[in-house]
Amino acid sequence: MKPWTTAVRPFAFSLAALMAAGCAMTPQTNNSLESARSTYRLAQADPQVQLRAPVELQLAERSLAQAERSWKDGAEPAIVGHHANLAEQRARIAMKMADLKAQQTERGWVVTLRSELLFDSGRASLKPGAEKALENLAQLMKRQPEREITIEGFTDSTGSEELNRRLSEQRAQAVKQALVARGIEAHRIDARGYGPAFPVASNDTPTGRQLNRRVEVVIAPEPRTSSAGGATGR
Amino acid sequence: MTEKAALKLASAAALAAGLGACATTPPPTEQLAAARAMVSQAQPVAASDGALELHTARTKLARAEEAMRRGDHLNARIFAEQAEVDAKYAWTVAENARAQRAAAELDRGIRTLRDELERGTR
Repeated sequence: MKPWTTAVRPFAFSLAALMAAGCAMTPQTNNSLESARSTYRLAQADPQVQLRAPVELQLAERSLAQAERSWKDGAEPAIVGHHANLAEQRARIAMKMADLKAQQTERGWVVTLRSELLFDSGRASLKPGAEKALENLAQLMKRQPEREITIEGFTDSTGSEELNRRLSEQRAQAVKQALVARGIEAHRIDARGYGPAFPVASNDTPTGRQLNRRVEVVIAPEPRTSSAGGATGR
Repeated sequence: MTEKAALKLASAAALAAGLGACATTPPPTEQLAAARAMVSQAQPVAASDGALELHTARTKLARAEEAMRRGDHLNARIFAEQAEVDAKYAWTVAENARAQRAAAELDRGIRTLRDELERGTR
């Protein structure tokens, strides 16, 4: 843990100069430093911060190391305080940045549509009644231009597995086409059919089978590349 | 630490430095540029969310510029460095609020969507 030496050299000169000038006071304690230590420890102990804001955390660590060093060297309390403030603020930035990235990258949604709402039994063409819901979904996607969606079709286990798989695929494709027709870019939408795989309920009862006949719309988290703008590094 | 306390502390540093040695401190051109850039970046997003943090950053930047004009390089440097981290903090606060609003909007949209679907069945 030595990389800060190069970064702080210019300031070390001024510190040395200060001390040479005879500002010799040796305070017993430094509140700013105490506060910076505990805020840094908080950030450092959080695995989310380590994972998502390593650059900010490292900057905080450097500032804290410098504060500790100037403290040990008996620098002016105000100078120690300055570095401690930088360290504390950077630790807070690291924690906020981790929150931000978690929000931007990790949240996704699943909307489950029951097949009966969208399709007649055994068919893959959308019912007129599905109109409004698809329009809403399209509007939602327009307001979230960064997000991609996956449309997954499922059936119950009645009948041929291969036919079911194909039906579920055609239904997913029909939903995709409806969204494309409403102005959503085709490349943002992935459509697949899984047939009777991944049931959410028992296929032994009518209610269970009804729950299994479904289309799931998975709204993906925002892509990582769009997160945090240009203010992360430095 | 509050803004006032931070400013007071930095002023104390300034006074201490004023006693001598700071004539040898090189002009903190880089730090000032970084502070200006970060304040500009935070300005448009942090005008409402993070407004207080942004205000602190701007105040310190102004003091840094002032110190620079006086030839007080040590103070210019201290205020510039603090202005930069404060502006960056303001930016992260503002961006967090924005991301939360976007997520809330999506939540609302999805709830509406589900409601529509339920209504469609009946």
